[in-house]
Amino acid sequence: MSGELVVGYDGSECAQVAIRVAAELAMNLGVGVIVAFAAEPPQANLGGAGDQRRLLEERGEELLIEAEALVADTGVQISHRVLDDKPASGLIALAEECSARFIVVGTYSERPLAAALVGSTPHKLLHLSNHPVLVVPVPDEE
Amino acid sequence: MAAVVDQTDKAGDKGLKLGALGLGSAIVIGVASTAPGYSLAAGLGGIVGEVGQQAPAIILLAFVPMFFIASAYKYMNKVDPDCGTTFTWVTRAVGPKSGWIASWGLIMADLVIMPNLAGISGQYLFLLIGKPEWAGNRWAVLAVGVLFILAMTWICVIGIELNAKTQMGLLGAEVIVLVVFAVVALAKSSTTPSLSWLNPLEIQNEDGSFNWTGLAAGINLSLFIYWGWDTAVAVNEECKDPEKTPGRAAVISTIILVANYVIVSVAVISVASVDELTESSDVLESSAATVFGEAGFGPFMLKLLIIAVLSSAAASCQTTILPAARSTLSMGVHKAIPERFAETHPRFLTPTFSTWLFGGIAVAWFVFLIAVSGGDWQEDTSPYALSIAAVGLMIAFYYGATGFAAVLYFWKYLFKSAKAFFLVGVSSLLGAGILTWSFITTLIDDNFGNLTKIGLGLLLVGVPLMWMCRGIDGGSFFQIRRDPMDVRPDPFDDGANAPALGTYTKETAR
Repeated sequence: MSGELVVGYDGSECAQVAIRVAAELAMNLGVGVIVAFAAEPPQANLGGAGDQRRLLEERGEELLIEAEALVADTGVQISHRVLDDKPASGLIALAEECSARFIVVGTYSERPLAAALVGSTPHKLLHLSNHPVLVVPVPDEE
Repeated sequence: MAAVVDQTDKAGDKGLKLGALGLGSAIVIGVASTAPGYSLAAGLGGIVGEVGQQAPAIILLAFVPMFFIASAYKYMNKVDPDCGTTFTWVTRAVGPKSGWIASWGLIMADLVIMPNLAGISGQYLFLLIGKPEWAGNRWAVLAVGVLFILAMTWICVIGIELNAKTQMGLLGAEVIVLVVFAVVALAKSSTTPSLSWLNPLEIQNEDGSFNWTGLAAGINLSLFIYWGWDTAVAVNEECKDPEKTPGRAAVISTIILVANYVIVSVAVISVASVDELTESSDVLESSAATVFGEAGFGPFMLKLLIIAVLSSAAASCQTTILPAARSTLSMGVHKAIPERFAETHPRFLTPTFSTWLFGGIAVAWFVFLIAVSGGDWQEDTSPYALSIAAVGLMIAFYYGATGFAAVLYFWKYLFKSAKAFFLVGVSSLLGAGILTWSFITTLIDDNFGNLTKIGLGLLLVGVPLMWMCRGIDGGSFFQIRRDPMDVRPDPFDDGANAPALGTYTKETAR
């Protein structure tokens, strides 16, 4: 199985739009969707990160089940993955692993402050990914 | 999915968790988590104050208990990786109450160092912008320091961190600046360094007898400058080539660290007389000003040194807040303290409550210390200056507890092979023993002065707090009993992990 769309999901409004767009695209292309949540405790190598890691996993599972529910009506084949990695590198590794057709993310994340200081996930993906990246904006409300 | 299997051999190149660390990063982690620039700025003055010219000898000698205790960390981490550190290990080996108090010691060590980190950052910031007179003003330093703590806490809350390459760059710059300082100092110095400075036997009282209390106090202070080195040993399992990389990284980071400390302390002592050194609370900055001078590159090099200490203090602050918040998170998860501590923020995904509370208490403790220290806050005996020595006490306490825990936990394996007996048993026991001795001797020598009040006081505050936590979740945490002997994994069995904490309770024992 390959050629799926890998979607990064963090529960933000933008990610919700991204998963909708991805599901519609996947339907047209006749492929499945893998929705992924990626987070790792900061400075994991300091040790003692196990419990934090487990809490992150639980939070990720919750969010991804929510994400799957968002696109259940499209009938597209969907699976989810919680990644213990930083968002950009985690999504890239997952895309490689399943030979994804492309990676889909929202334009901004739930962490604008961090993004402003160390760069946003879409930005890193555009630079680092060997797979095509689709960055989905939130449509203007009018 | 077959693809997953195909990828396993390449996992190391892909930034996945296992096998992620190369030799370079492993060394960086080891050296960076001890923050050499900041450690020297904060700790060297006190060590020279205790043992004078023998400071380099003490620095060499103090590495011995660290080296021994690191084996306790290494093997406990092997059977109970990344879950908790002292908290879960001592709970497993001794019991929940001991685990609680040992973890309290760790949190207090992190708390007590915060005012000093903030204070050094404040002072060096004023030196950087050319306002040395403000660096001596406690209220100015307090104001900047409080902002520094809040900013660093905020950074930990929103979960940003520098990437490994930036850290490596900053650390490289720090070590190079320190070495340049030492070399220039040695070239210009008035006193020729003597080999006897490295001889621990010459740690003597004025009458020529061996100065045991000086040795204990020196070790206690030096614990602080090596604090964090154990991390390097603990992360070893994450290395790319687990057979070779960890050992090499530990050896190289150790050599870099010890050599750096010894060279810089020798340089500082040869530049200034011991009397001058003990009068100044920050020997690094004062001697650097003399060494680099006013001409040519001097002021520029001095600024570089100041920046190195500042960046080192900032990094050190992050590696203090994170483990403290992580310990309370772990305790919250296991119902040892209120569950709020285990809450992670839905957006930042960090233990927000734990982190802010720690930051808040650190600010309060800083304000309190500066207020009670009065105008003499930079003197050796002020509560503010003593907090470094108090950190040594806390470290000795929780490192010691970890060492004894390792001996007890692996008891049944110790007599099965010479390797286990020496590497796990003797090493942990010696480390813990030396730390306990320095803890007790430092307290006796202090004769119930301010150091005892701060050090022992903060530790004892944990007892009523633990008592207040007894009812959480029906006291489930305190129902945990230590791991039964037969489920304890062999420290040399690579795949063996200890069962999840809380599997064995007093209920199941009946």
